Amino acid sequence: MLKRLVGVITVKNNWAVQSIGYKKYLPIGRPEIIAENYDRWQLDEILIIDIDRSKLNLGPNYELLEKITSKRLMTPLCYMGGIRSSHDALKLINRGADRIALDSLFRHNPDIVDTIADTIGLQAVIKVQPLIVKEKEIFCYDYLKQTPFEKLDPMKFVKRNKNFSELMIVDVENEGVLGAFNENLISMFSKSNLQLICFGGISNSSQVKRILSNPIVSAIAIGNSLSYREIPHKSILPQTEVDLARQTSFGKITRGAKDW
Amino acid sequence: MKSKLKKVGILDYGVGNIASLGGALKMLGFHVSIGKTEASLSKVDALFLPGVGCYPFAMENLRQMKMDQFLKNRFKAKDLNVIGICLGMQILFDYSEEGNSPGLGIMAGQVKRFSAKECHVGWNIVQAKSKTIIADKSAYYFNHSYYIETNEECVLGTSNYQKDFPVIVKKNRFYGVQFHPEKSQNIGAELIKRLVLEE
Repeated sequence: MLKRLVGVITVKNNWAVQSIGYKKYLPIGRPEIIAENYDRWQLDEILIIDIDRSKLNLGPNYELLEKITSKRLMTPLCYMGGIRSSHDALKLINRGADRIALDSLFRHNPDIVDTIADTIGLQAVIKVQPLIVKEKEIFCYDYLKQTPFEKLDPMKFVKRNKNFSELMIVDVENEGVLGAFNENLISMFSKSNLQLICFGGISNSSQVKRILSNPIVSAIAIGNSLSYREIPHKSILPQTEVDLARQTSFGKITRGAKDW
Repeated sequence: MKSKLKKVGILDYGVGNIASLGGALKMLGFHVSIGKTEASLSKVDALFLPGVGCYPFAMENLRQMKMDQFLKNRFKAKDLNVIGICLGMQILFDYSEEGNSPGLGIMAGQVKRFSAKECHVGWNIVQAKSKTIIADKSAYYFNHSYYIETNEECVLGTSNYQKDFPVIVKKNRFYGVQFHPEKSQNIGAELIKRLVLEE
């Protein structure tokens, strides 16, 4: 398997925003335009996180997904935000999402997660777990209540949580801070057979190289720092197997889903 | 990127990323018709079976729509290129461990689960056995937790995750791809055109 660079678009009130530690949000543009950029830059996957949908019990943002799908992107698309049922999940897949990501539903309604996995397939479900360090201990973080809720016990965590293909760990404190991702969060899962996506404060190439070299890490996710430079991943991703393999795919003549 | 063929169909059988596939096909210049019945898909030049979902649910839907027999008839008549994607490929085979469900039986083989309930998600290299349809050692996007076991004759390409397994197959004018060409950017777009145009 090749390791991936996932482009994250955080959405609030239908605007893409820069999120800083889940507390401050600065608008950066229209989500569908950023998705189009990510597709043009040939990122390996796009993750849309609509952060208010669960908090306000609004359900998934189908209109946003349709706007993005109307751009006819050929990059894998994952959606997170407001998913309440297998019906929601199936509707999202039908409308253009390839996978969905869930956080609080795993905690509050694990039976519904089981049904979702049965309906759209285990491979299409990502579990998202925000983590925070308090007094040198790592805690799981409740985004809805904006508070840590339990100390992370990786083995218990693995046993209790099934029905997902990848675990996305989010460094809450360092989200939006350049090059600050706490790599100790990864080592907590080193004895598990999980595949991790790492998100929150990843932005420079040496850090990316180090994180991707960890065998349990399948992907890194980067948010707004991608939007500040043209084709930023070319400088973020070192000339590793990832980049070389993608060159093999695209050949010398064409450079992406759309000629550009 | 415009293609010569005008009209391709997508069978809507209740599973799958129809919007994604439809968007990709439109981007390639095809006229896209999405239908649930034989009549609504009768004039297409190629037919796609999309698939993100659950095997028994997909098969049950096909049977209820009476489109299982339609597909078997097209296979025998060899009058249409039919392209199954991911789950749409898996249902072409005899049987799946997922829900112990029988498939269409158009191709001989079984659908099995990866060991330790692992999933094969992301970009992986495909080794071509036939270079006429697929470029060797190209990376495509995969998103599945079950794989095909079949005889070598219909296999055009393999990939490796836990073991080597078939990821592109052909019999008569039916093709199956385990990966998602509609989500594999430029290399996927090229393959879609070839699958539709191949005689």
